[in-house]
Order: sequence, then structure tokens, then C-alpha cells
Amino acid sequence: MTFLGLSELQADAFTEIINIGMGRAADSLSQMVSEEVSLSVPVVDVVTGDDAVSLLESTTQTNVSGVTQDFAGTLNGRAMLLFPENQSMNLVRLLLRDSVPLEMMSEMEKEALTEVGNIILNACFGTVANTLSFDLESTIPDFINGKSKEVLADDIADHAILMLQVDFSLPSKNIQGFVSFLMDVDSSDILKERIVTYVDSLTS
Amino acid sequence: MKTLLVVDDSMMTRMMVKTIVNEKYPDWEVIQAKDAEDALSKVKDANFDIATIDMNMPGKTGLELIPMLQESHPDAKIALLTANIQKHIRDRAKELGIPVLNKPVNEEVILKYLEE
Repeated sequence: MTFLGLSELQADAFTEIINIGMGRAADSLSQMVSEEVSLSVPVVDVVTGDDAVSLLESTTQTNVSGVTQDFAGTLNGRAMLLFPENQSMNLVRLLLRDSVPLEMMSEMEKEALTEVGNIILNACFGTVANTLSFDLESTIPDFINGKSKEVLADDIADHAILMLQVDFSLPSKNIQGFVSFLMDVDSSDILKERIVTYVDSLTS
Repeated sequence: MKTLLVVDDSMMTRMMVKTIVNEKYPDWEVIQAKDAEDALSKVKDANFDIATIDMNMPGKTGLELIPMLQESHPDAKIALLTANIQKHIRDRAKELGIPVLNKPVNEEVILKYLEE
């Protein structure tokens, strides 16, 4: 048995759906920066809130910049697009190129990253939602800058959380980041049900 | 000469759409609004021919704003420009009779929409 008590096939199907969602997100990012985007294999697991913090901190040793977006509806959770702080400006410069004067770049960082986050997170989780037939209502994305643990909700420490993470990079520009989604395990019963239904529909 | 209304809380997106449009049509006016309230205020006594409306914004969503614009400016062509690719959004847009343009902003897609 794997996470959420899913069978190997069901867990594999969910991981593949995340992969497809990130593929769509990577395509969007690639269009925006005209660069190739590489993706890792998604990692999905049930962890405690404290473990989630440790995992995020181990992914980046420094402060992070990025975007968080909370989702509600059939599932409740927080999606995040995060970069080590020193790399986020590299992405911003790539995004804005000659369209913004150099002196305005820092000012536009928040603006540009927020919109990139909006596009990438919606591309990924919108695809997941469509495939598994549920609706997600998302909040306006929030720009964040600080230590990894600061980006997580204050009240998750004692909760069991379904965490999924995909690393991505723009190899030619030395830019790396990751997309992560944290979901309260209570929400994940519905997710599990949808995964089971989806796999059954493919295999029956 | 036409007037385009761009409603989006992302300054970057508004800037990109304006750049695409004015490079092709330098004489077009572009009205920019950062949310539904700002849009309604700016078109209260003004006309527009075409509009791109974001979905997720502070205050009213794009799908809440669009019927209001359709009522006040029935001859205008309106599209939803959004990162949200979910089916229920597309279904609602279809009910309103409007196309959905997906972000990231793409010059080809924007120009095709303006010209069709």
C-alpha cells in the first residue's frame, strides 16, 4: 500500500496525473521565457507538518521567493511555487527581458513572479482537477519572500499532510525551483475516492 | 481606431496585452483596469469595442464582471483571459457566449482574437 492507502496502480496514476499537470505548467513557463524547462519525477507522500517544513528547508538552504495560492472546494490546500531567493531575479530578468528598464526590475519582481505563479499553479492543478473531475476555487496568489517554514500555514505543525513536490529547472540559465502542494489529510479522502474512480474507469 | 479594455490585477499582463495590441494597432486606445470595480468606473461614461477580462481578481471575478459589461456595452466583444484552465470556468464562459483565452499571454492568440 502506498500513500492514502492507494494501490500501486492508483498511486502511479495519481503521480502521472501530477506529471501531466506539471508538463502543462512547464510548457507555459517555457513559452514565457523561451527556454527549455526540465522536470523531476513528482514525489508524493503523507507527512507531518513538521516534516513538511524540514523537507522544504532541505530543498533550499536559503530564503525563498515565490508564490502561494490557497485552494478550496472539493479539496483544501496550499499550492506553492518557490525559488531560492537568489534565483528568482534571474527568472524575472528572463521574463521581462527588454520590456522593462533595468532600474525597474526589482520593483517588477513581485509582480512578475506572482503572475508566473498564477499561471504555473493553475496549469498544474487545473489539469489535475479536470482529470479527476473536481472543482478548485483558488485565492489570488500571494507573493512571499522569507524562510521556507514561513510559507506554510501556521497551524499545520500537528497535522498529517499530503505533500507533493515537483522540481523544475531551466538548465541553460541555472534557474531551479519547485512546485509543491500541501493538502490536509481530511481533504484527501475525497481525492482518494476520485483517484480510485478514475483508475477504475480506465481499467474496467 | 478601436478601444480595448484590459481588466487584470496583474500589471505585467496588462502591460503585455497593451504592448501586443499597440505594436499592431498604434492608434488603438487601451483602457487598463486592475479589477472589476476599476473597470466599471472607467467604462461608465466611455465606450469600448473589445475587452479581455481576467478571471481571478480581488473583488468580483471576471465571470461576475462580464455579464455587467455585456449589459452596459452590448456591442462589445469580450473574452476571458485566464490562467484557470478548469472545465467549470470554460462551461460558464460558454454559457455567457464568450471565448476563453488561456495565459500565458500569447501574441498570436491575442491578435487572432482581436481580428476574428
